[in-house]
Amino acid sequence: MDEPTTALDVVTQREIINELLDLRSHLGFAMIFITHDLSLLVELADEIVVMYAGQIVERAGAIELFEAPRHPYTLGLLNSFPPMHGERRELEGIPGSPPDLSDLPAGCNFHTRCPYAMERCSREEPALVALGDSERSVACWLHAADSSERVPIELSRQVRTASASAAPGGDES
Amino acid sequence: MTEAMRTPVQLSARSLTRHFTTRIPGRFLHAKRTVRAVEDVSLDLIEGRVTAVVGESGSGKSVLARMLARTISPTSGELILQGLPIAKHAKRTLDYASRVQLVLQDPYASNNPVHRIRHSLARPLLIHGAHKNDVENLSKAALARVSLEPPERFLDRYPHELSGGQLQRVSIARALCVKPNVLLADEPISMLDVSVRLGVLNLLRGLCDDEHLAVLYITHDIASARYLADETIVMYAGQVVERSRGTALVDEPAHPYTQLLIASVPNPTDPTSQAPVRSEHSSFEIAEQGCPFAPRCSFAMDVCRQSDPPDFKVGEGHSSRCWLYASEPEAVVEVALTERRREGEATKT
Repeated sequence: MDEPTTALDVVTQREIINELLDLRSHLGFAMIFITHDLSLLVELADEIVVMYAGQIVERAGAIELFEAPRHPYTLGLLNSFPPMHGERRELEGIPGSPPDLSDLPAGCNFHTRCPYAMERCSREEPALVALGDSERSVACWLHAADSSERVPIELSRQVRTASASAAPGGDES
Repeated sequence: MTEAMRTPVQLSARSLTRHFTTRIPGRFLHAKRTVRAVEDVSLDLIEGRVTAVVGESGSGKSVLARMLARTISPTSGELILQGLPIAKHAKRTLDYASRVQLVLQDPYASNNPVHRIRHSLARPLLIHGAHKNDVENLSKAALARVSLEPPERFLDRYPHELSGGQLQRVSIARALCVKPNVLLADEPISMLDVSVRLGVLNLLRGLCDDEHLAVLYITHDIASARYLADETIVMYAGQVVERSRGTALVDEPAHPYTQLLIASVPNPTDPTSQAPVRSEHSSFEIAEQGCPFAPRCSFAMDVCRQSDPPDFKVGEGHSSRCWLYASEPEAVVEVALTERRREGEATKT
């Protein structure tokens, strides 16, 4: 499904999503859901694949991606949605604008907008590699095994244990 | 009084109403139907403040913006610009246009694709009496104001050469170059890439804070309204159903429709939450009589189907148009019904 709810208001979107989830549980089909609305995906998807400029930059379980993003672009996207709760504070989003696909920058496609860009990022393109022995993978030099840079704290968060234990609990009920 | 002097109202709407008449297809000639696009909406746009209007598609928010810009004339109601009432049938003047400017949703549709940015900016400047020799500098200043720098790089580009975010900034620059007091922004970010939306919102906030513009921000995204707005208004079926200052409306929604709207927003922090959507009714059913939301409302009482609720105060600067907040709804309805009966008798005789 390619952006099936993007043009809808939230109430109708919710009805469509509930209908889809219902149909999926009855008919048992697999679903690929394309959208720009990351917060919707976190609720809907089992696995999320983040694309930037034609390439996969991160791939992880929905909860892991939301609570512990590894790619700076994913982190920027998550910070682009104003929260519905808590104190109002200024958010930054991602500086710059999406690149011209016919004239991509050298090295990592994201390095011109990336707050953590290093010298290497403008020369070499990072490959999508598995992170340690986990199921998730990311295309970013920050997480390369031979990287001498320290991974910034916001990109090395761990999944909160509360929600990690809540997920199997939800399955049992 | 001092409050009013510190925060002058730039543009006020008093009971703005707009009805459209449509023919019902397949019926005989005189089968007509009135669509109540906007019904009795009053609001004040105040210098240095952002007023957000939130509502689903078809709730009348764009018609409201166009009435405020005076590109659609109201069926009834009044506009007051800087304290002066606008005569109902008066033409939209150049002076009005220079004070109240509208920015639309799709920047690729609202910028002429065959003209360079230079042309799009020069036209309003020349129409509003700028001297030919100043146009170049004024255009550059306008682009710099919306953080498109260096301006020279953008002036000779065509709309398709810019990204959505950049082009929406051009639209805002174009609106600003006639030095308006009021900026009406109709869904300014919904067509933009998620990563650049915040940039445009922060730009609007900055214009409000630094240049004391009065901004009307129309959106269906209640989270962005919470982020940006000083006052938030929720519209349903052409009516204002709830309004509040600050974030009270999102943090403690009073009207059942606002509650439904907020419950429907994807909530990643609690993915198990389910919105209370009533599915036995069609989403587009709007009551002819009584509260327009009653057919979809889980709390609907007899009162709601009989009589349109007035505004009830639910908190400081926070009101909701819902019978749930009446102290004695039955008594109020009795009065309303007697009134209607009396009106009916009056028209019969």
